[in-house]
Amino acid sequence: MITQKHLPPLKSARAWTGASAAAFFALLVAVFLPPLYKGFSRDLSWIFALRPLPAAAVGASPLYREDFVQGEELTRSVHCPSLVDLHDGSLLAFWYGGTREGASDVALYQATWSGRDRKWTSACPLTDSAHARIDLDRYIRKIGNAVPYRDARGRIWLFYVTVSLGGWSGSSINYMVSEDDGCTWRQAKRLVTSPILNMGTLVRSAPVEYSDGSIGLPVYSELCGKRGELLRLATDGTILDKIWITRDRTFLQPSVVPLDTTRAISFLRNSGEESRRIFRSDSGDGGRSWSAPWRMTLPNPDSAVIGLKARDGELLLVFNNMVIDRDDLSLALSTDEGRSWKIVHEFEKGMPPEGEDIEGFSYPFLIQSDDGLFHLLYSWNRKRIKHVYFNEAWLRSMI
Amino acid sequence: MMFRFCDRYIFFASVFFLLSAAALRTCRKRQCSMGLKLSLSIMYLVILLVPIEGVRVYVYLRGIANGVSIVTVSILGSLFIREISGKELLPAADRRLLWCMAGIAGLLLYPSAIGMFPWDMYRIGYRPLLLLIILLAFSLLSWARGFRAVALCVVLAVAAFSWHTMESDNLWDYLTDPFITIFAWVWMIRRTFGGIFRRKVRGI
Repeated sequence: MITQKHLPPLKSARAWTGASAAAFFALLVAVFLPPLYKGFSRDLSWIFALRPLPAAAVGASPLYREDFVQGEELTRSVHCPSLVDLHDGSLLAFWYGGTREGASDVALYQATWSGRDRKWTSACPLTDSAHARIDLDRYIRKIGNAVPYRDARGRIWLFYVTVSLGGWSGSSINYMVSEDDGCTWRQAKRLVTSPILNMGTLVRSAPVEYSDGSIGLPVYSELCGKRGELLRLATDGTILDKIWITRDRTFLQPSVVPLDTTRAISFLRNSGEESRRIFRSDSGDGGRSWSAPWRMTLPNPDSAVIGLKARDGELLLVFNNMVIDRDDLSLALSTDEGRSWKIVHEFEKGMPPEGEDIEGFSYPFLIQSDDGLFHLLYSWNRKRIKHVYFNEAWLRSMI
Repeated sequence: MMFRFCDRYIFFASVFFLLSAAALRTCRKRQCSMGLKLSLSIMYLVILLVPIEGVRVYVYLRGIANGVSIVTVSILGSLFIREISGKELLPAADRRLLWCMAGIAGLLLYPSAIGMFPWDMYRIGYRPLLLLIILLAFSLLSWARGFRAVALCVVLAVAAFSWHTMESDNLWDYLTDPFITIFAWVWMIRRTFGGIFRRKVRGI
């Protein structure tokens, strides 16, 4: 008996198979060709952009001033300040505040420092978990670190951390862009940096600029250990690449400092028990690859550090010059690209005033504005945000 | 582009397909009417959109789950269509191949993401030239071997990536996610060790 299975295929069936195969091949070409072409033609340039030196630094005589960002305490706890300079010499500062770190009432705050009269405007809330929830169309439990960046086109980017599930290891990074120096902000977008529910990535240090206008955003992962990473972002916020700065599981909050167009140092907070020292990792190819972290001589009580290359070549580092607590905040300077360091100043030394809870002085954020002034913000006992600014003449007088 | 950043719709559709397919499967076993099937689907649609303390249910779920891949939503969509219309879009053989591929991809991707390997598999998804070539070869082979639904799933994922349909800039996120991976691992373990276990039980 001849079954249907043994019959030769009909002409029309053969034609149908041929047509469907042709249609599939056409689909393959249409779908795969554009990304393949893009992949072949896109070659990233790993050259850091170095901003030009200011025409004249502010003041020939030493200048050193201290003030607080807020005139009054808006929230019980504040933390993780950061800032960016604007075209007119003003500053835009950001931090998060609420009843305590990680509380659901924590919001991001913003304040402006006028370069003309050197005063802070009163702080105002920028976003909170409810607002972020609407922006991102997903449940947001808490808000964390924020880091601003001014790109070559003058737009201000604000990268900030949100958590939907769990602690800080459940963090994701989002960003907003402002085209009018922080007066208005576009809807927030999310960066997808991890395949595991996009969890575990945080931001803390200032981004670096590449010669093609793209952004190098130092981030760190806290999912199953801690690891420093560098995200390469296009000018439209697309992630172009992700580099591991460290493979070990105890280094976080990388502060990336370009030395020239291709060499960079990443200063690392060390959360390991083994050695209470600042670690650093070096790159000689524009941040595409990094050396294994190596121990510096400066101490680190598992707290954030910030590095900066001054316009005339010195390296500055603000850190807690202690092994255990955060009661000291110091400035170190290196004239030999970080091989040796000299402590030139102590911003804080000793305990906060009596009756205050001791939370220390932490999360420094240092920039040099276009007018040559150095601006430092840090969390002062987690109660206030302190602002210190000084000029190059003062720095030279301290060496 | 009209297809850009459709994550919220993709996620919503996935959860809806999953809940409805599960409910409809129960209906099928009890031979329920089409009217009841449709009512159940509409009920889940409403539940997902109901706000609890001002936040819709699917927004809560999206906060926790982050998102799902195009492959996952394709599988769930095909299950939903099968349960509601009886039409099989994803044959069992194709499903088995997808579970195998998802399981293997997950074995490479997730351990490396938490630093268990000295390299970062996820990174190649941002500049996915190599991954695209592998997927092109895989699609052709799948089609030639008769796994047409699998080939179309992969093509759909690459098309979604190319059009930047989701928030992610990484091709891996269009191909796989932790949910399909965990399901695939459980399926692979049951398939590999389930037989051995059953044979041993019979032997006793």
